[in-house]
Amino acid sequence: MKNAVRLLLGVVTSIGGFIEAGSISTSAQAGALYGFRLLWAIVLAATCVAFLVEMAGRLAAVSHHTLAAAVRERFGVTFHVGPIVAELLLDVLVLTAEIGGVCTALQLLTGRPLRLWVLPAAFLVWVLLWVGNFDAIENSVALLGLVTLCFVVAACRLHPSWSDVARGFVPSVADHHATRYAFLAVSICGATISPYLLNFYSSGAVEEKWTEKDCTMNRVVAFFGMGFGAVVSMGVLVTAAMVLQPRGIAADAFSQMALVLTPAFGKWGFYLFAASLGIGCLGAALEVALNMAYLLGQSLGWSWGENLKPKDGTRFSLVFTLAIGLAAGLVLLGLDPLRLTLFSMALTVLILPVLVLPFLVLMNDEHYVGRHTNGWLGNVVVGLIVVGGFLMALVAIPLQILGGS
Amino acid sequence: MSREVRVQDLLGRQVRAANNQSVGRIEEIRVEKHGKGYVVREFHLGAAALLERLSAHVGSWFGRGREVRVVAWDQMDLREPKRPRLLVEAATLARLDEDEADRLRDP
Amino acid sequence: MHLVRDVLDKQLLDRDGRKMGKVDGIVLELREDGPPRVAFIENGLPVLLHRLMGTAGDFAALVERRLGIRDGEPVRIPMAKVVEVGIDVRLDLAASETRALAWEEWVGKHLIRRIPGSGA
Repeated sequence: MKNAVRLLLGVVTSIGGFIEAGSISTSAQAGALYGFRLLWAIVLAATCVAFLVEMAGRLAAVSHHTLAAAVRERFGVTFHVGPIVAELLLDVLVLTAEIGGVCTALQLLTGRPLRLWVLPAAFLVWVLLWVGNFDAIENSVALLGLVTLCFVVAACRLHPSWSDVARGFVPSVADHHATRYAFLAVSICGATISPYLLNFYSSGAVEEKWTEKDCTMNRVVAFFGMGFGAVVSMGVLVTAAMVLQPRGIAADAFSQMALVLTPAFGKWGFYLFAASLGIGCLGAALEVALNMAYLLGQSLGWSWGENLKPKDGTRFSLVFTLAIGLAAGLVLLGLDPLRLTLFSMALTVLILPVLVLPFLVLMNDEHYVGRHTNGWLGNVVVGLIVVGGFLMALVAIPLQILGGS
Repeated sequence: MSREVRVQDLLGRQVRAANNQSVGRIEEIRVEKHGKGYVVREFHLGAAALLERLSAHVGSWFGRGREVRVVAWDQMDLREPKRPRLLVEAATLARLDEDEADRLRDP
Repeated sequence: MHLVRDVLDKQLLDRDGRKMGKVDGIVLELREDGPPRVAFIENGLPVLLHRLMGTAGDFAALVERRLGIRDGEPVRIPMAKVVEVGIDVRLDLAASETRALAWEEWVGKHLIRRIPGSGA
């Protein structure tokens, strides 16, 4: 039973990590423009992130140190400061996009304008972090997040040609607008392999006091959790392919994407989409805001933890408070959540190689992972992600200019 | 009269010999127990020392032939922390070969 | 023991296992008659920032002085108080015996405790 509950960390991480504004929009766009042809990108990205998440969890379970803490301790502050600052900046953008996503969902549900919802949404995120503890947040987001399975149900209800779907799992070249195709593939990777997800998971493992004995369970949780996220993303892509592509709708706005569930669920489809978007973005907002506090607290050696009362982690609580305030301010300034999401995914791909490289050292260092060092497969996967990320980064900027929205 | 110097100010500083030749940058300081405290035994210089510190494994991937230059505490003049100077000839410096460096990695 | 690999940037834990920052700096005492002695561990934002950019460190010290947080002086912990150097550096003192948590207390007093629900 305890292990079943542990699965929730994996589920909540993936909900916040990639069933949110970024993933929903890239998967929907991918389906709307290219049918099933980008399913392989989701599988590839989810597999990569599962490997990385498992490593982050293993590091935390054995050393009781999180990723951010371990990087500073092992490599020194001069190496650590660049990636940390980059990750914090990225997190601000993502947090802004996610709060914007919650507001968009509320706008879809009520018809009232987005800006009206910014302060209430930000306040909700803040109060949940202020008053709640890690378990409560994890459990509620994970359970509420199950609503996103509606995409999978809808995909099945639409009776796609499963042989066509299967073909989508084989990497292929686009038959039209190759740059857009490549850009979407890169974006899917950027949306899925989110840096904040890794440190959040390792922080969660420490908050839940995992130990070396939990390493096997960690593997299950990581792959199951990321698998859950992948299946939901694939559901989004398939429904968009079935509903939007035939009608020539490009999914350039959330209001267009909201149509994907209507054929399967009727009027409820629209509400289910809004609920999924809202809950996914709420989960992501909580995760990212917490992660910013985790990053700073763990790098600077503060008392940190969502399980602490604010008075016992004062600087930690101050950070997520300020972060939420800043993000809310940026949304009110008029930053478009969808544009911001797409931009932040390109940025993710840029800093990914640098953030992932330390794994090669940490996961082979017995001081940190004891006898649970990486096997050859783990090291190869990390190496490929670093190289692949670097190549994608080289290509992402011109793609953004040429093929992005 | 004793003076203080901060380790982090020494890190990365280029050490020069008496003839102003560059010897290497300070990347590591090895200390040993002395009574109840610790005293400096030697300074490790050079890129190989940096690799040694960052990762034993990555260092060995780059192959042998990279040696760590070792400066004993009494061979270093730290009167000006920003400009550490060698008190002996550069050629007389001990060098750690790979095997000894390997043994030192896990104390 | 290697100072940079094993001590610098490691997490500091007090006698009760409480986190009190990281080893931001180490002070050596140069002596006429013998090898330099490892004198203190230093901790604090000015020390840390000074490693990255000297002026940032000075600025942080100025802010600390202005706010009355330990008069802008870095926290110094004698090496004699170090009990164990492993994945963390454990000290034989309580965090409250040093000024390491001055910022934590300042933020708590002036900002966090004023908000309801902080647990104060």
